[in-house]
This record gives sequence, C-alpha cells and structure tokens, in this order.
Amino acid sequence: MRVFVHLFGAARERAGLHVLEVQVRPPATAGDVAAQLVLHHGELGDLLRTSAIAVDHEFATPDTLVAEGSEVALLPPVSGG
Amino acid sequence: MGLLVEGPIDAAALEAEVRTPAAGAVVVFHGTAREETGGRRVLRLFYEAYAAMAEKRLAEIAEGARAKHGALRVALRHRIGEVPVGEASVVIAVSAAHRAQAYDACRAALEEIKATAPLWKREHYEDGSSWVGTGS
Repeated sequence: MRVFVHLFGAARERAGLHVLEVQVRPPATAGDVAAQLVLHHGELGDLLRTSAIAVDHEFATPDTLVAEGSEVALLPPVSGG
Repeated sequence: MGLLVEGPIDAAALEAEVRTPAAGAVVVFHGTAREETGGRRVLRLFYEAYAAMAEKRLAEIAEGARAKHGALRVALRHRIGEVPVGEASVVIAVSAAHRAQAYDACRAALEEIKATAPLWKREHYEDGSSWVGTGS
C-alpha cells in the first residue's frame, strides 16, 4: 500500500518536498515506513536516524501500526519554545 | 483550537484567561527571540509547525502541567512564522492557589513544549540561516 509521509523543517528542505510516498506491505508499522525511507531517501541523511515518526498526530514507536490512510510524518528534532 | 498564532501573542489576554478569585499567584512566562546565539548575531527567527499535531500536543501539555502541579488554569500560545528579535515566540500563563504550583506548572509546560511539540525554529543570521537542533 502507499503511505504518504509528511516532512517538516530540515527534512522538508533536504527532500525538497512536503510529502514523500513510500510503499509498504500491510500489515505495516512505523518501523517499516522508516526502513523504506532509509532505502529510498538517502538524501535525508542523518535525519533518518535522529527524527521521530508520528502516526495520526501521535509519536509512534517502531511497532505502531500504519493503516491505509494513516497520516504519517517524519519529525526532525524539535526546537520550539 | 488556535494555540498556534501568526503575529504577536496577546499576553494580556492569556493572563486575563487564567485570572480567578481562587488564585493566589499568576505567573506569565514569555519566551523571546534573543539577538545572539553561540556568538552569532540573530536577525529573526522563523517557526514551522506540524499544525494539526502541534495544536493537539500543546493542549495536552497545558492540561498535563495544570493537573500534575495542581494549578488552577493554564493558557498558552506559540507563535509560528517570523518572530523578530525581542518579541515572544511562546507565552504561558498559569494561575494557582500558591506560587510554587504556578511556577512549577509554568516551567513544566515550557520544558514539555521544547521537548515534544512538533515545532521547528530556523535562525536567520547576517550571513545565512540554520534549523536549530539539526544544524542544516
């Protein structure tokens, strides 16, 4: 299935895109999405290691399930405040 | 929910929001854009948000800090977009029966924002700019 990964901050700038598309086989997890990003989006560099993944507006763990239509985001280290 | 705002934050309105006759203390924290960082002159900051998640996180943070520290009311706003030096990027107002609860809840909310709110700061210098925390 297709998963759209929203990008922010440094990740958005490095990819030159607001959203990336990856393919994963259901049942898929946030860890599967991260593995696809590592395989196909090396341009993200160290952000692939330092970023968090959110699924449906919550921080995910590698085991968090990603369903068809889930909103997935790659969150570089945050710096609000 | 509108906890993210573009343009200056109305701190007086936040303070009014938390005032209550039950309070013995009201704390209002302003996090402001500083003119230098690591020896470099900063001209302005720019904040980007994952808006839908940030709104949710900020609301959870406000309620979490209030409940954990026994404060009465917590109101906060985070600014997004450009923030000129000297202006606030975040304002947190807290009321509590006693000062320790108000100070503690206010600080806890700020630390939690810095650690977990999906917001990113870009610093603009005289000779370039960079995302804070990722160095690019």
